[in-house]
Amino acid sequence: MAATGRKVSLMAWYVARRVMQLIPVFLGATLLIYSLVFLLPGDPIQALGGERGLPPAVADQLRAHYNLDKPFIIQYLLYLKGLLSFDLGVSFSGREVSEIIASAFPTTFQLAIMALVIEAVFGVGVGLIAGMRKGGIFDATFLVVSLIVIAVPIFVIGFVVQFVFGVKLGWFPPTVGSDVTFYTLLAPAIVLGSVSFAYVLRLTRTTVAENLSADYVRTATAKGLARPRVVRVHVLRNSLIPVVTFLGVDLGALMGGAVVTEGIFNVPGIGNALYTAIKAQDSPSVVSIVTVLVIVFLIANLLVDLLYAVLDPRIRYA
Amino acid sequence: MSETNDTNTTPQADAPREDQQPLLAVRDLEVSFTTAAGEVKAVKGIDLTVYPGQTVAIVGESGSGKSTSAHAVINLLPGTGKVTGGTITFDGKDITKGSTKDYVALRGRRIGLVPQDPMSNLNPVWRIGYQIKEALTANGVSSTRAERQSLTSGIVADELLSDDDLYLSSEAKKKLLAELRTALGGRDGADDAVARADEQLAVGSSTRADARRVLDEAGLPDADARTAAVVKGGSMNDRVAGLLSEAGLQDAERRARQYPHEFSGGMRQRALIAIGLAARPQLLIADEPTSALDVTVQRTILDHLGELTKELGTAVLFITHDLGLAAERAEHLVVMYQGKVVESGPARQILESPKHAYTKRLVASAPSLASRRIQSARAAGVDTEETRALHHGNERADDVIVAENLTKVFRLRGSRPGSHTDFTAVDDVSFRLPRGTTLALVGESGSGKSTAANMVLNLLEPTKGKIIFDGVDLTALNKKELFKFRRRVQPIFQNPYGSLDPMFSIFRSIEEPLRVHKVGNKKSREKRVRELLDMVSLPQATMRRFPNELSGGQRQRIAIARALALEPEVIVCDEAVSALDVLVQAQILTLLNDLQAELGLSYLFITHDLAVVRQIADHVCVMQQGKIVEQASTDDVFENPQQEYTKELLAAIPGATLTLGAGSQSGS
Repeated sequence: MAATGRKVSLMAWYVARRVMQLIPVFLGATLLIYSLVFLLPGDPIQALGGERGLPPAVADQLRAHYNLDKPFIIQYLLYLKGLLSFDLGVSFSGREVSEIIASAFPTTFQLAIMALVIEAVFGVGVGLIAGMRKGGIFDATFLVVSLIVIAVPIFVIGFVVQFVFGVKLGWFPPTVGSDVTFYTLLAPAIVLGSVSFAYVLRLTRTTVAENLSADYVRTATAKGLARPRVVRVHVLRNSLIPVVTFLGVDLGALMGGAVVTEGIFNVPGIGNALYTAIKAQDSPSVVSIVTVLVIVFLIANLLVDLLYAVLDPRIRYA
Repeated sequence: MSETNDTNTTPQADAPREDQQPLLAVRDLEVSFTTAAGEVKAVKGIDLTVYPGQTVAIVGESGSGKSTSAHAVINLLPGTGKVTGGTITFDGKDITKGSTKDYVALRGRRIGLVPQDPMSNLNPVWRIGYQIKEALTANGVSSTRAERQSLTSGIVADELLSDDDLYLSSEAKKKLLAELRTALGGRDGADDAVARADEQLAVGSSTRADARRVLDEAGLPDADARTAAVVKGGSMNDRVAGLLSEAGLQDAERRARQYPHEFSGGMRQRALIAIGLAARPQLLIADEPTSALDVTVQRTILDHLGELTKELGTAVLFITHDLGLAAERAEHLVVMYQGKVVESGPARQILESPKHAYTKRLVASAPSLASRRIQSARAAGVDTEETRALHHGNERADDVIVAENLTKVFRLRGSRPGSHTDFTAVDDVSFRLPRGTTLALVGESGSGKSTAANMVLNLLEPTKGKIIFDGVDLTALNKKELFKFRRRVQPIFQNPYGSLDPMFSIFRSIEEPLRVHKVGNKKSREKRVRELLDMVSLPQATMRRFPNELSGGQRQRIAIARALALEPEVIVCDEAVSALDVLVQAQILTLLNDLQAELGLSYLFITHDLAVVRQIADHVCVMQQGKIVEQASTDDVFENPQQEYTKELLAAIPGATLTLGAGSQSGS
């Protein structure tokens, strides 16, 4: 089929263009992060020595080792050179940064996916019912609930969940530690997904309520379709288009935004690693971890844009 | 099929229908909407009767409650709407208090709906075929054999026994055509015969009996046995294709696999007709089914719908704002005004001797019918005639606008990176607009008429050719001269809702061109705005109001006042009355006519509606696919069209075939 062939080539061209767009974003992001971290006041090498301080000769040697004695732009270029050969550098504590990321990333990925599933299932489910009963008690209740979840800072929610369900009721282990399983990650995943759950709920509710009065929904009803089928086939599918867009972007945000949640529940994930690195002014680790997060975010975005066309046949890649 | 009596008010006295039970009987129906201001009655006690197989039209302007009444019948009222009084009886059963389940059983299966706007009534994320298939499965319609209406089932009783009503499947058609090809061998015209049979046989719509007849005629020996062996009934997909081809869509099998956005408006409306008739309902509610479409498309679709419903014996409740269209398509008219039925009766009777004042006004201003009154409309502009005669003697000396070999090519992005295709929107078009007259550019959407108008307004640059305004070539103008030119040529656009800035008061909207061109001081400008409002017959107090407080007709008057502010010589009206109700449309056309006589304006009138052209234009250019196919005076075009396309356009005017009695002449 010529039409299908053309569609594929259009799609390939679109993906190629999008991947090329990643290059300037990547350069800009790394330069920004790099300069921010390195222009921070304070001397990380001195901090390395702790209370007693380092002998000047050792400090100089360390500075040379981490290229800290060279001008900023050279440092940055050397760093880029390393990145391109997949060498993320060595942290000030002497560990390979790639190793830190490799050990922490799977945990964070699992946590983020769990949070995403929770917010998608409950957000869409509750949002659908609220949208169909707009103005009713169910709708009003969950609007208030979602408002509270959005308004209260996530660390408050985190500590409340940890204290009530983890410590008092004992339903979940209060912290994760090295024992990373589906069960131990459940509480942090709920906390992590809670804010997005509220947004998904509201987004679904609004689009469902809007689509319910669409002309094609009336046409579907006039065909003689029963209500459940009208809702499933003609309301829900159309309403999911903006929700999926949000969820895709959110996956990237969840990966990077897990810093607080991972801290509260002591999850050995990328957020925790980043937090540790920032505290130690461990610039090679900070820059590399943030760069990886930026790339994950960009790829998630690209996937959403491709998924969008699967859901909505009107989207053309041109 | 014509009736002699008013069935709605006195059904018992109606001779031909006496023994028949009405299919749909609406009595004293009231529908209300709950708003912040309390309960608002949209329908105030209407009566409506449709007999089996009959076509009844409800006519009225927007807001008259015609659509609301129809939607009440199948319980599809939007939002807070509900039936607050009266009864609806369908096929002898009172359905007013029906449960949700009752309505689900009724919808699609017994009452079909063809909705108003084809653009928004198909779900954009599902394939056309899927959406039609839903209508079949939901109503448990068999896809293997043709179902008959109770009305016609008696006639085809023995057909049912012999399996002659089995549908032709896609494979069976291929097989039979192949057999036909081998049977005919290399005989002369064999290819033609096969091609003809291919065209006549529609997958999922033609039955075994049809196949036998067609193949027999085409020369397939022993067609009876062969079709009996091959035609075993179609699949669901075959039936979907069949429904689409019944609705008049070409290449239905492929089309069924496409999405709505790959369809034109007319094609979508055909798909919606296929959905509405999929389960062979007894009653089809057609809610302004073609109002959003071009006249020629409108005609083919309505013709087709008429044939189809006649063939199937389906009764049709046709809702329209166009009296001409209603009179042409329905036997019985019901005229609604402000939620009430003001008049009802046989179509012809209403047209020829309307009784109610509103119906009289409607008849008088229906553009489709006004073709008979054009002489009186033009008599108002006597001096127009004079100036025109003057120009004939003094050839081209005073053409305010001359377009010479205008061409506009748009570059479209192609399928490959970097590639492009050229699209010629306007192709070598030449016309002239004599001062003080009206030139109409007529054509369907996509004919390039608006592109041509935008070039005249200098909003688009021609690819080739030139426009000479008052003797000066527009392409040679510099920025300053162009600014001066803009003063002398003003536009009025189609959509009065979109062309006025909602944040500007009416005063500011009208005053803005004066301010931009630094005309007068604040005081004189205000005086001018008052004058302009007088000119377009709006109270001066209107200038303190905002566009959203005005009706469509009032806004279009504001748009005219704004266009007149700078005392232009030429006004380009791009579908300036197309979005308006017939009555308002007539008022605006009269206003434009009066202003032309008073101020000596020249109009370039862009429209798809030939009926409007007849009321306002002196000369007509008919455009098709970017080219002018016919160019003549209005009378010549209407009385003696030269081109096939022009004849088609003329025939497509709703009500063109109707002749009016003397009663309507005194209307306005």
